[in-house]
Amino acid sequence: MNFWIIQGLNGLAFGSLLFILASGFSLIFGLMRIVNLSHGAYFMLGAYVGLSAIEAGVNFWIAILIGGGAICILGGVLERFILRRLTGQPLAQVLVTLGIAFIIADTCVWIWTGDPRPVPMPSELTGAFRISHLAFPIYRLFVIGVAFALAATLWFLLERSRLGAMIRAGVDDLPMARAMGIRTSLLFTVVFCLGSALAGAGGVLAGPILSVYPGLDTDMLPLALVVVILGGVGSLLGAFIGSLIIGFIYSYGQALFPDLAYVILFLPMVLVLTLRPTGLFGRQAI
Amino acid sequence: MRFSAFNALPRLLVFAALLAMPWLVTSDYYVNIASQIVIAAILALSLNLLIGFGGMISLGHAAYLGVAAYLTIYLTAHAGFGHLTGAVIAIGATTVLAMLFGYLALRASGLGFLMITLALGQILWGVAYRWASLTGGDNGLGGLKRPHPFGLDLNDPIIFYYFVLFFLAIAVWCIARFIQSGLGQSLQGTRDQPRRMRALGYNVWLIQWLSFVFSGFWGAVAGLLYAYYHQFVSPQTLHLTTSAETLLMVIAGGTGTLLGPVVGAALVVILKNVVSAYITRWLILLGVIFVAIVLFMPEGLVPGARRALRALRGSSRTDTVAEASSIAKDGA
Amino acid sequence: MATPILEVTGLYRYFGGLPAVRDVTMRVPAGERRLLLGPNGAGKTTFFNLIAGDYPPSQGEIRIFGQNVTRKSANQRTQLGMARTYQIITLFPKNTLLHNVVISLVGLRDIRFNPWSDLRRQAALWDEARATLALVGLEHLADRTVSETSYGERRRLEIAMALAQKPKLLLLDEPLAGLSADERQDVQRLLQSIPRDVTIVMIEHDMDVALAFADVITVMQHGQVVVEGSRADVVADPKTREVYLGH
Repeated sequence: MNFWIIQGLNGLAFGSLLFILASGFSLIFGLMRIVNLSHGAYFMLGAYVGLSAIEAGVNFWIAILIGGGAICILGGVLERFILRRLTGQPLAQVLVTLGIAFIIADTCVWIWTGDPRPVPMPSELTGAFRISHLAFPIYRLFVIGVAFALAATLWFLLERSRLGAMIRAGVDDLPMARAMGIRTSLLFTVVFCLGSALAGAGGVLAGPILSVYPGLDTDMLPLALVVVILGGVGSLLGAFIGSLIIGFIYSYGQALFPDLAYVILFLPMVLVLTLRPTGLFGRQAI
Repeated sequence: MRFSAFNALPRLLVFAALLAMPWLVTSDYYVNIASQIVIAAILALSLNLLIGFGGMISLGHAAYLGVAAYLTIYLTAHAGFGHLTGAVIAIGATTVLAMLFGYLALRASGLGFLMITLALGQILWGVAYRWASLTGGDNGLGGLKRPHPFGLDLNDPIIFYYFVLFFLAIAVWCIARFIQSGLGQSLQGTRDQPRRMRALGYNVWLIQWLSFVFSGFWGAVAGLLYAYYHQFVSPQTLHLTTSAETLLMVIAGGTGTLLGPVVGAALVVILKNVVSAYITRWLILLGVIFVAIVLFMPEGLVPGARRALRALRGSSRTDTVAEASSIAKDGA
Repeated sequence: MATPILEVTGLYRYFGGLPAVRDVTMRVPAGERRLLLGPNGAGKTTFFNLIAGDYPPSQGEIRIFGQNVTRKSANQRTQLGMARTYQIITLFPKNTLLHNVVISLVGLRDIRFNPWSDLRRQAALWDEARATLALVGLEHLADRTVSETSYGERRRLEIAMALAQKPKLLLLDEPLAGLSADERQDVQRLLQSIPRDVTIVMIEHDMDVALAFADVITVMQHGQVVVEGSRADVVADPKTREVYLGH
């Protein structure tokens, strides 16, 4: 029984990290039709930047802002100066983001070497939370809380704010949104920066749980893809549910079938593609 | 694609150069690099079937290379199969895998196809990496001895080179026939006008799937030769970077041409070996080349060179340049 | 009564909750020339796409040649003997005219799944394609690429690709759209030369041409059939006037 609860919470924590990564990826893909293959690299680079900030004596919370901010700027620059030049050529855009992912990944090895580096936990969140004889790390509970808060914020942003109305209009029908006078150019940059910032900040947040290591990018990126395929294009709810499903499967799979955990991770994707190619909450096929 | 002396000449030159390679270079080191190029060329040709002629951009093509290589080594060096049986099973099983992956990836098109192939490719990487009891995990799988088909000693670099070149020749022949065949022409039709093709009575899905499987088969052949060449395979073979390198060979050489992937393979393999000799930052260079090609030379080297040659010869048939599809213009 | 070539019963199609086609029922007997009229957005092209099998209807049944094809794919319907043209020209621009027609011919032949036989060496196919081009008066342009031809020639090629398949049911979506007066006459003559064993359903805006061509006319508006009948009936019906002139 304890096993199921603890692994369930672990799954929830991993799913939470995944959601922070995948929500940005999904937003960018849904609105701009860009499959940002740099997204995993953003996550890893954000974690490294945060780590360096912490090692330089910066407080953990500020480090999250620095990591997120750095990647936000990077994403904005890449969107404005490279992806923008390739508007209307989705495959060219994908290839560019793939190239950038390699450049970032190798640069990280160059700067931070090939050894895995744990990111220190903020002191106020160390220790375990206990109910009777169950103990669970407080930091993981905190990460779960952050993901739920983020989901609520993004939901509010998308469904209740002016910016969200513009994003939704753009996701549904881009030419129509443009015709209605929405400045899609600015909107694209804003969304790309937001998604990038989430990836960067998510990386720092993940650091104390996953550590930072070369290959973190290509470990996480396929999972983000799977979440989007699973949940449906441009659907926030889909990204949320998809992340949690993958989180649970990862956690239980890792514990029950360590050899095959990685394969099991992709089973839901196989099922969804076979039975419902639009994804669980999507309206159009990917 | 018309056959003319002008079109055939570069092909003949490339093949003459490939045939004469062992005499042109001085040491076994270069002969071995030539073998690597030939194996990579088979893989790139098979990927180009999907990209250039089918308009399906796959980022999981390392799957066929890696799975066939793993199976070859596992079956012959660890499970006690003979070389021929091992090779047949490895290629057969990998082709079956392509049937499954094709079924899944073709549930989507364009960007969705790309995402699914990438994800499926990474599953296999994960399996190879974590299922250590079977695959040796990070340490990889080795112990394969090169076969002696018809008394040929494949341990001799020059004999091995001609061995793989023989396979390349067959691959080029089969793929050239495929491109001009009913199925190949149908595939090109589905690339350009899928809706029209449906209205003309074509089962677009089936045509794409059959081509996908055909492509996977040649990827498996490359994997078999890869296993014989390296006598070792590790998860790196299945990694996204291998798929990306193969993709780079195709788009650098020029999609939708027969010669392009061969030229692209030569370029990438040489570059990788040269760069690795001096610096360790191959991946950065790979990334930079990707970005540069997409931004500055989206049509690839071979069509670009062909166009330049045409311009030099003062040909007025400018519109036929468009016959090779540029990667950048292929919509999703 | 003989089995109708095309029989549509209670057909509906919704897009995002909005009906594009509402309760359309239609019977087209063998050999008839049926014309679909109606203002833009009346649902004519959606109706066409439903018959052709581009997407399934939300409700209702489609039969061609007496066979229920409601759940059959576009390519399966083509295999039964249906062909169509597109309002927006949909050709293979980098290939020659001849090649375009060959692609059309191959669509109905098993060679489309053959990965080995060289299509260029199938002399019978190329001869047949050339004959089809001669039928529409494009033989002299057979070896040009589509991108080198005029708009009117492309329209005729569209029709040639459909005719090459020797369909029993031909769907023409605005075959005269965008043509000059001269080109119109050419295409019109071409349409009139199609033998009567081919049943034709056509969408067309050019009233003079369309009325001269059609046996029976169906007027659609807001996804529904408003008037149906012979040329004289439809022209005389006040509802036709209403559709075209507003209330």
